[in-house]
Formats: sequence, C-alpha cells, structure tokens
Amino acid sequence: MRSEKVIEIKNLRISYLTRRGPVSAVDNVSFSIMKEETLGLVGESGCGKTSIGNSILKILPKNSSIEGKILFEEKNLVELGEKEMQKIRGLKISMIFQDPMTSLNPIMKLRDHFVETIKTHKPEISEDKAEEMAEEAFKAVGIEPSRLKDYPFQLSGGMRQRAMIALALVLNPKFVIADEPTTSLDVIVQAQILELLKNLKEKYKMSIMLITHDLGVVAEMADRIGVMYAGNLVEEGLSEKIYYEPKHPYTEALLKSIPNTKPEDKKLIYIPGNLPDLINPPTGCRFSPRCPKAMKICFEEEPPIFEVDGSKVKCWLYKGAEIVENERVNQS
Amino acid sequence: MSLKNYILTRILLAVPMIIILLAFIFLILRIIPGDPVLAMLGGKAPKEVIEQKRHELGLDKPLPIQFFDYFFGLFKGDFGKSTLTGRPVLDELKERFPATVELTLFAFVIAVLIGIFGGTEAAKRKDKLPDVLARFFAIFMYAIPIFWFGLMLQLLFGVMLRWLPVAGRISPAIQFEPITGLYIIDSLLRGNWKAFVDVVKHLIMPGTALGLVISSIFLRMVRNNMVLVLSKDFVKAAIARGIENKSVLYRHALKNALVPIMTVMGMQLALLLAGAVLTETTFSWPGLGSYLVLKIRYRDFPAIQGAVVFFAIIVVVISIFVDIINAIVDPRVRY
Repeated sequence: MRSEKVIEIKNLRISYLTRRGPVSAVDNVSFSIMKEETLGLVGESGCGKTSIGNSILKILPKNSSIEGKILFEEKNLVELGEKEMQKIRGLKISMIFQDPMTSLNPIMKLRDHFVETIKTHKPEISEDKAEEMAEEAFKAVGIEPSRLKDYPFQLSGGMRQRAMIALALVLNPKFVIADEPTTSLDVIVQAQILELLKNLKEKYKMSIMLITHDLGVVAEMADRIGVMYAGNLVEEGLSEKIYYEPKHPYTEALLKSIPNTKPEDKKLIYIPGNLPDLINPPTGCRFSPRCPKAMKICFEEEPPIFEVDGSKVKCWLYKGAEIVENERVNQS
Repeated sequence: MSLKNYILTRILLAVPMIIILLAFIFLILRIIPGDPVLAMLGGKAPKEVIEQKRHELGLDKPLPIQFFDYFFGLFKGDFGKSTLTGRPVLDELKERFPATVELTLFAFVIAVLIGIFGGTEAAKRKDKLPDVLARFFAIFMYAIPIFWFGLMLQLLFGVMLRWLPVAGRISPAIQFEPITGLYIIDSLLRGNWKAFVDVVKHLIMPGTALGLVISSIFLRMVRNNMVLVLSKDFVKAAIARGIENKSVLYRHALKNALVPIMTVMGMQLALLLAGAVLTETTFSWPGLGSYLVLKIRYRDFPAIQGAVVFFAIIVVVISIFVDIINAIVDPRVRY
C-alpha cells in the first residue's frame, strides 16, 4: 500500500510581519502526503492554504517567518539555504499556479521557458535534447509541439494552463503543488484540466497537493482532504469521510453552503460572520464566534486534535476521543 | 505580422510623418511674429532694399510655392544659407553635429549604465539602505541645475585640482586634422596619442555631468518598474522553477521592466542629439546646442529653421529605431 511519506509537515507556523503587528496566517499545522497520493487542501480565502504551499518551496514574501518542520527526502526544508532550495524547486517539487495568464514570462517563447528550466537543473543536457523533452511534455498535456515556438500571449487560457502543467512536470518531480490550478478557467476547461492532472498523476506516479476553495474540484481529484479555517487545519480525513460524514461544524457548514440547482433549495446557505482578525485571533477555537454548536470551553481553550473514526478533528465536540496531538504541549 | 514587415511599415510610415513635420515647421516660422528680412537688414533699411532682399529670398512668392521650393531644396540638401556667416546651413550643422554626438554618447552610456544597474540593485533591495541612497541620489541629481553642477565641477576639477581642462573640446595647442569629426576616433585613426588623451580629458567633465543628471531619470524609472515587475506572478513562477536569482533578476524581470523604459531612453537620446543646450553652453562645447543658442541670439532664421528640421529628422529616425528594438524585445508590439 501507499505507506511511504513524500512530505511531512510538522507544527508549521507562518506569520507575516505587518505594520499592525504579526499576522499568524498558519498556526500549528501538521499533515503528511503519501506517495502517489493527492491531498486536497480546502478553505476560504485567507485561511492560509496558499501560505502553506508557498512555504514548502520557500517562496513566501520577505516579511514572513516560518517555524516548524517541513520534511522532504530526510531534509528539513525550513532550515535549507536558498542555494539548496533552488536545487529542489522545479526538479523535485514543482508548482502549478493559479493564473496561467500571468505566470509565464510574456516576452519569452514557451520553448525558452522549458530550455531554461531544464538546463538550470541539468546543465549536461544539450539544448536539442531539452527541446525534445519540451515537445514530449507538450504532447503529454495535449498541445501541438509546434506551439513551443509561440509566445504565451498567443495561447488561450486553457492552453496556457496546460503549458504551465507541462512546464511543472517536465523534470518529472515527485511532488507537485497545484495552487488553485483551475480557478481562473471556465468550467469546461476546468474539467479538462482536472482530468489531465489526474491522468498525469497516474502516468508519472507523483504526489499532488491540491490547494483550492472549490469543493467540487477536490471531490474530483483528492484521495484525502484537509479543511483549513483561519490558519488551522480543522479536519483531515479520507475524501468520502469528509463528504459524507463531516465531523467539524465548519466542514459541515462549508458543505451545506455549496449551491445546488434543486428547485426547493432557493435560498443560498452561507456561514454567518467573517473570518477572524489573525493579528488578534479569538482565544479558544478560532471558529467559535461563528460556530452554531459552540460551547463554553470553545471560547476559552484551544481544542487539541482528536482522532474520530479515522479522521482528525480539531473540535471540542469530540472531547474524550483519543488526542492525536496536543498543541498546548507543543507550544511550550 | 513578421518582424520584417513591421520594420518596413514603420519606415514607410515615417515618410508622411517627416513631410507633416516639415510643413509644420515651415508654417510656424511664418506665423510667429518677426520679419526675417527686417531682422537681417535692420529696421532702418530703405524700402527698395527690403523688397529686393525679399525677392532674392523668394519670400514674395505665394506660400504654397515657397513651401515646395523649401521642400525640394531640403531634398537636394539645401537647408538655406546662414544670414550671419553666409555659409550653407547644412555645412555648419555637419561641423557641429559630431561634437554633439561625442558628448551625447559618452553621457548616454554613463546614464544607461548607472540607471540600469543602479535601478535594478535598488529594486532588489527595496526600502533597504542602498535603495534609499539610490533614490536620494536620483532626486538630488534631478533637482540640481546642470549649469550649476557643471560650474562646480569646473571649479573643483578644473581650477582647484587642475586635473581636467575647464572647457572646450580640444586644446588649441594640439594640431591635428579631423577625418570623421568625432575627435576620439579621429585621433586614434591618425595614431595621435597626445591628441587622444587631450580629447578624452576634455570630454570627461561635460560628459559625466550630463550623464549623471540624465541617469537620475533612468535610475528612478528602472527602479520603480523593477519593483513592479518583481511583484508579478511570472517572477515568482520562475523562482519556483528553481531559476537562479541572477537570471530571474536580469533575464526575466529586467527585460520586462525595460520595455516601457526603452521608449523614454530613445527619446532622451534624440533630445540629447539635438544638443544639450545648457551643458554645451556651460562647457563651451561646440555642438548643436551652443550653435542654436548662437543663431537665436543673432536672429539667423535660415539657420534656426535648418537646425529645427535637422532635429526633427533625428527624432523621427531614433523613434523608428526605438520601435524596432521594442518589437524585437516585446513581440506583443507587432501584433
């Protein structure tokens, strides 16, 4: 079975220093991704999911700081220097970005994007060979290889995202971070891109971390799902479990708020309230001010992570269940 | 559109542009108050003399005929004759132009180097000490009047330290025969080492003064554009592919940042080639700028008109070059 961990994140904390004070964007998050597994990381805007993605490649803005461990190939990426990170980026861990319209250099031919990336990591490969590899990658994502001599602006949005995927996969990385890869595309193209990602994952035997706010997208792709709220990982488990037996009140509310087309459901369901201010997060559970099931303890003490029915849930409702991890211990 | 077609179209479009420009200059010089004949002969000349001069110059003909005469004259290389010296204006411009070219290129290279490297490094270290210093330098140099800056340099390096000659283009004691008019090249071609050193020494002060002042514009533009481009997604994407910092900075970011700046640089170059009036006057540099000042002082209308036409053509030619370079760097321009 898939038992080998490709990447393991332990007690990750990310904060940004702003004029108003430090913002704790990610607070004590731990999870791991297995070989050939797709983990979906869901949550609303500003919950810290993109920060986690960027922290793995260490491409966070300069005003950020990371604590905790990101273990990859027996190395803690948090401690690696810039030079060593450069050898990992694009070669072993790749990233597919949200907006394919702006993520390619507008004045560089597509071919040169590939040749540059390949030659940076493998200088021994000749330019002709690199071009051949680019052609192969284009074929794999379903673009005519002759389009390599085009500039990014000559491709449509869907094609550009295919090109971005080809570029991310050209060196056959074992781990790919896909940060909202379909958000800026229309639904039909979205479905095509997801299908493509799924097939490529099988073909190249890689692991994917899929960051999205779209529950439909994760349903399509993910083996396991992590639900994030205000910098916390509030629930993590197999996709079916999350979908059919959500444990955390936030997951439940999130699933209910997916609009559907049934005539009797005319009203849109939403979660009342706003995301908390992450400069002064609420004491206790960060979801407590919006939680319909909040109890007294929820406002006072931060919940640990409980193991319930194979899922991990950060919620006091499951007090009494086995504690996977107690953050108050970790914090000290 | 292919690059070849683009260049061809651009050159063909320049022809009507030059014709319109010529018509414009012609009309303006006839609309503005002041009679060139009166200016030539003085207000107290007898009427017959004035009429005769007017006829001689063709100024009694109808305006359209005058325009065609002037227009076809230009094509034959006839820019008119200076009323001050009686020499063909084109000959005088040809004498002055190499001096301006020499000064301009020297200053421009300094300005571009400081602008590009200073601006890039400042943007890389945004809000850190080097960036603050670069911004201060840019504001300071931009605010300084060049004639004052030139005078201070003359005082320091020319009078007090005596390292460099105060003004002029070559020492009167140096004997040598120019070939192209560009003294640096000429002195090398003639193998006249002494002349070469003398010419370079004369060029350093005005060239540096002008270059530093212009570098301030470039520095600010490069720095601000780089800050903008460095925040773009494709820069982050390039870093995420493991591309080295230097390549990201210069190959990805700088090239994109330079696209809008190149136009400004080209126009600045054209302006300089038309003569840096203040610099040339301050350093008694015998270029087009000081030529124009001289001719305006003596109301030498044919010379002024010829010089303006000459500048207009320089601007058109440079703007074609800038457009072509832009189209090579940024293919989106062509479509």
